[in-house]
Amino acid sequence: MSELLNVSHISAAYGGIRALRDVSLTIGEGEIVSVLGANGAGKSTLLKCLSREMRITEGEIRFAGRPLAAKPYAVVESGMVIVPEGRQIFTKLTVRENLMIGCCQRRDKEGIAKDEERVYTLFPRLLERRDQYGGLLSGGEQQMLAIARGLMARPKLMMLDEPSLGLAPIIVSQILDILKDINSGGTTILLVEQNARKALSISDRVYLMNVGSIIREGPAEAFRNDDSLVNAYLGG
Amino acid sequence: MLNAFQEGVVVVVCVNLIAVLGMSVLTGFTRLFSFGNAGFMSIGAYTAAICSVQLRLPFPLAVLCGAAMAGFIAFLLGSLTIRLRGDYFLISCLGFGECVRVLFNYTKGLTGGANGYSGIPYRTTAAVAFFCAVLAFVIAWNFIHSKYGQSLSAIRENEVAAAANGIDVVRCKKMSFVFSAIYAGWAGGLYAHYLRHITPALFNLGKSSELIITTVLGGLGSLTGSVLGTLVVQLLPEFFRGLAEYRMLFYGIAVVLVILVRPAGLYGYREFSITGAVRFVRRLGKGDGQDG
Ligand SMILES: Nc1ncnc2c1ncn2[C@@H]1O[C@H](COP(=O)(O)OP(=O)(O)OP(=O)(O)O)[C@@H](O)[C@H]1O
Ligand SMILES: [Mg+2]
Repeated sequence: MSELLNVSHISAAYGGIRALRDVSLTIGEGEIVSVLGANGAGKSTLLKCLSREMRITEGEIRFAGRPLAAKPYAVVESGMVIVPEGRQIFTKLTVRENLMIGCCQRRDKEGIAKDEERVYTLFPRLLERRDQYGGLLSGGEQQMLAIARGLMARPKLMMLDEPSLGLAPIIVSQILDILKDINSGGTTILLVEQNARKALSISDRVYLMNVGSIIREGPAEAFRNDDSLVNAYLGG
Repeated sequence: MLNAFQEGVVVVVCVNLIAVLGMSVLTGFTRLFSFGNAGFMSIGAYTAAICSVQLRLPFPLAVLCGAAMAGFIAFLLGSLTIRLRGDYFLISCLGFGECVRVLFNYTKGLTGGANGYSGIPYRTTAAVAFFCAVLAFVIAWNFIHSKYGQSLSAIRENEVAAAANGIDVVRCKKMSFVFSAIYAGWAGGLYAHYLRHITPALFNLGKSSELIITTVLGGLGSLTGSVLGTLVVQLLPEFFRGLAEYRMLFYGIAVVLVILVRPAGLYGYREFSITGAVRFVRRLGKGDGQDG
């Protein structure tokens, strides 16, 4: 399995407050990797650094064998897309317009049409609401839209920040199943979650974060079978 | 045909409309406030005038040069300032506009200084101005309904999310800044060929404010609103000639009222549509039926 993302020894800070220290991780092509941790562990900060929304003070990030692009739009261009915490859909644009923003860099009309179809197959609800404003969707639908919008960029790696936030368990299971489908379609997935058990159920490997550092890593089975670990750091 | 007064009104409305449309694309679709667009009008006016008088270029080409020069200067200025946060960007534009005015005051050899530049041929007739305004509207409409415009709407709503989805935020903002400057320059070039004599003081801070006020009154994010706003701001003073001195006072009051009562402006974030108007009239009709 070839390596897709390689993060080595990165640190980041908000003003003077360090939020990440010496974080390293790798993701192989085709994997589903989860980063777990309690509130304030630095999971969102890590993703902000990977999407270049936030500057890293130390360390290096490589993607697909090259240093990661420096600007957010260029990161998307290189094939890495983030589905941010709290969905961040465009409430005053329609569902379809939201999707079109997702593929704003692509010029291949046919490919875009095909991907739009695929997205509607994955999320039939979005097809029903295609011309409705994003702001009128339910929380679960908004999450689906955020994922669908990310898919429209046809990414090699999709990073999701707490897609389960505020959703009913049944919707969470649905969304995770769909992530599994997306993954079998060839998209590598980096999932950030507090909802440990659900995330573990679909992951290949796991990193555990606590106050800005990675404290454990390993295959998902090891975590699944180790209740004490889950209880100590995550709960739920 | 129109008499001189009517002709003048049409020209002034159309010229201002072009400048306001540029402002509307910038402010209404990216939330960047530029208090320097009178400076770009000034650059457009002087460039077009000089092209026309000194270089003897034909009128359309002279106006084109004026617009292009304004766009070029905006590109340079934008490269420096577009990353600034809201208020700082606004102040940099304000400073720029004043710089242009003072500069044209001092370069007497080229611009005639404070006495102004005269001898510009009269070319902007009501018909020319009207044609340009319609063309400007059509281009702006297509621009904001293009992929680019969609990106601008996304930036307006959520800059971080827009960037995360692959939109080059800085480039888009710069594009719309240049767009608004080209429109201002275009308006300036036309204006010069209507007045035939221009002075730097025509394009002062008051003019920049007027452009912004018109845009806000008409409604941010609505081109048809900009048309409405321009009509109100330019025509009302014609009906109340005696109160001309209080013009800015009325603008100020109007803006405060709009912000309090209708923060989105007369037509904010919506476009006027025929079908919408028909529906509205029908609903009125039905209302009458129920009452009676
Ligand atoms: N904008 C900010 N300014 C200052 N400090 C911040 C900011 N955002 C996060 N932090 C701090 O950085 C640390 C890590 O925050 P982060 O959002 O990465 O945590 P998280 O693991 O995503 O938590 P959660 O599970 O609650 O989303 C926290 O201590 C937080 O207080
Ligand atoms: Mg978080």
